[in-house]
Amino acid sequence: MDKVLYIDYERCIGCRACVIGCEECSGHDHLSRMFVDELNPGETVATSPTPCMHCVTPACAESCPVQAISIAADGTVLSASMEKCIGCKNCTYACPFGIPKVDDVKKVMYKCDMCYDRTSKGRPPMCASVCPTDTIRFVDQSDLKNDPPKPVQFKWDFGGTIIETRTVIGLPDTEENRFGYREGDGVQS
Amino acid sequence: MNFYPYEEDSLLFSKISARNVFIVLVILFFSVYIGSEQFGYFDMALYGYLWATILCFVLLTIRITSWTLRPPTRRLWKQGIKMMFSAKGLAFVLKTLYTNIGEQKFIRKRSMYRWAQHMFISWGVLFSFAITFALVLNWLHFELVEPKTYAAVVFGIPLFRMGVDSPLAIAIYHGLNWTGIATIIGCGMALYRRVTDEKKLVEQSKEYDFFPLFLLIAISITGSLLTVSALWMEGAFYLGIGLAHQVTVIIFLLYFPFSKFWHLPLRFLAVMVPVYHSMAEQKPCARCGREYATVTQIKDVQLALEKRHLSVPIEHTNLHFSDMCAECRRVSHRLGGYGAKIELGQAHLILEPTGRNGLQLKKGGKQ
Repeated sequence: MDKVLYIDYERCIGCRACVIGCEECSGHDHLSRMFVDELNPGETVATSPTPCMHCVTPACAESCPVQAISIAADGTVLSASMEKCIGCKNCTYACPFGIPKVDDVKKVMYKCDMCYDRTSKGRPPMCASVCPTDTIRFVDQSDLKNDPPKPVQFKWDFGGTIIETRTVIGLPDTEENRFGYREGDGVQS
Repeated sequence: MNFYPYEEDSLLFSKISARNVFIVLVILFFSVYIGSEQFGYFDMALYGYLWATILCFVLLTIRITSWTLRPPTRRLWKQGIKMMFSAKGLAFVLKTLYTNIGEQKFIRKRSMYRWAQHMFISWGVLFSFAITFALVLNWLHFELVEPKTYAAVVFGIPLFRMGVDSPLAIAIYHGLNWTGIATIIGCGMALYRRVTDEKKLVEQSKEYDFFPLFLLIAISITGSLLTVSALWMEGAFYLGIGLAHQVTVIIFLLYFPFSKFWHLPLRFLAVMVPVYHSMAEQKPCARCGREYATVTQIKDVQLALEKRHLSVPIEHTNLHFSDMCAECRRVSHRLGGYGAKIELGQAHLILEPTGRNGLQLKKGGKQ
């Protein structure tokens, strides 16, 4: 079953368990690839986690001058290959979602690879495993995209450029303030 | 997947490849002609290696042509070369050439063990390349000028003389053995790491990561066995070992441009990166004002994305998402998801969601 990350960010409490969990993934070399951003610092406590969106046509890979970023057979966009990456940072600027990071000392880019060692074996990524509020979930892609529990984002139109992402973002309900996901859905992952 | 061609002219790659291959072949021919002193010192024992080397150069030229046609690659090469025209830029590049390729400092920062293993492999292979290509293409040969004295002749120019039994001569005759030993040590260390760190190296594969190491070991062992056979086995099995060595080397030469070894040409572009980052004006984020990139690089990235039909503009403004720092890009998407207005303090603009998951200028949103 093809599973993807689902981020329902109105549930986020900013605990940063996902950031720490990400560091602990065996293939991540103790470098967290997860972001938790404060959306209105000083005004509200709203936070949001952001993993890689795993674009179908990744701008990071397209902007890489040495073709260091490859896409696994299941569509996961991997971190730059260690021997190819030249640390130029093109990917960090090209990504419309602000995901890739570059270690200036080691001269290598790193980003969320959905814990490839885990997800390639059907296990959920670390961030989804440790999230205490189900903000980050690892769910079936077709179910989520065809029958979402609430309005979601996975097709982005940037002035005519359509970018489709495997990661799905759940939008907050700002009209009726109904919180979370459809009733009856149990906690997964 | 992006199936747009790199350039409008679909035959451009074929045309440029054909031109580049022609230039490389002409240079190779004349280098062999001059090096072998009008084919007077042509080493027929290396005939098989010669054709494999020529084919390797042709394939490498085609791969490099394809690579440099990619918009971001072309742009970075151009910028790097342009910066090298200033004395400061050239000094910067030469310094980076030493730290990146000579000393390989960036690998030492990744891990001491990996650095040691890579120094053994890379310098073993690079010196092997130098010796092999010099002999195979007949750029270098030895002439017996006196009964017990050789002259080393490079491109027809006698460089120095040495006694046939002198320590220098012994060191040179066995040049490929020394590089082979270094390669075997490095490959052994790499194999050990790949097996013991299997759980950390989640993306490694047998074809891409293990096969090249076994190939290098096979080349080094068969090559060293030639010396063993000649020195200590009275030449037993020499022909078979020679044939096995030739087969492994030819596989390597043809495999080189399309394998893990392809990262070798890529590292030369890495030399341009520090100068590219440090010699241009810094750019502030359109939202928070933090300096996060250089003006040149942001323009280059936007140009490369445009050529790949992947521009990500903020509608009704002159800005792209890359005009904001990474954090502001992430936050803007989320604020847009809430339907909140997004203030770009530095650009004096107010944005709102487009309703199609993008961002646009809010009506009357110019501050």
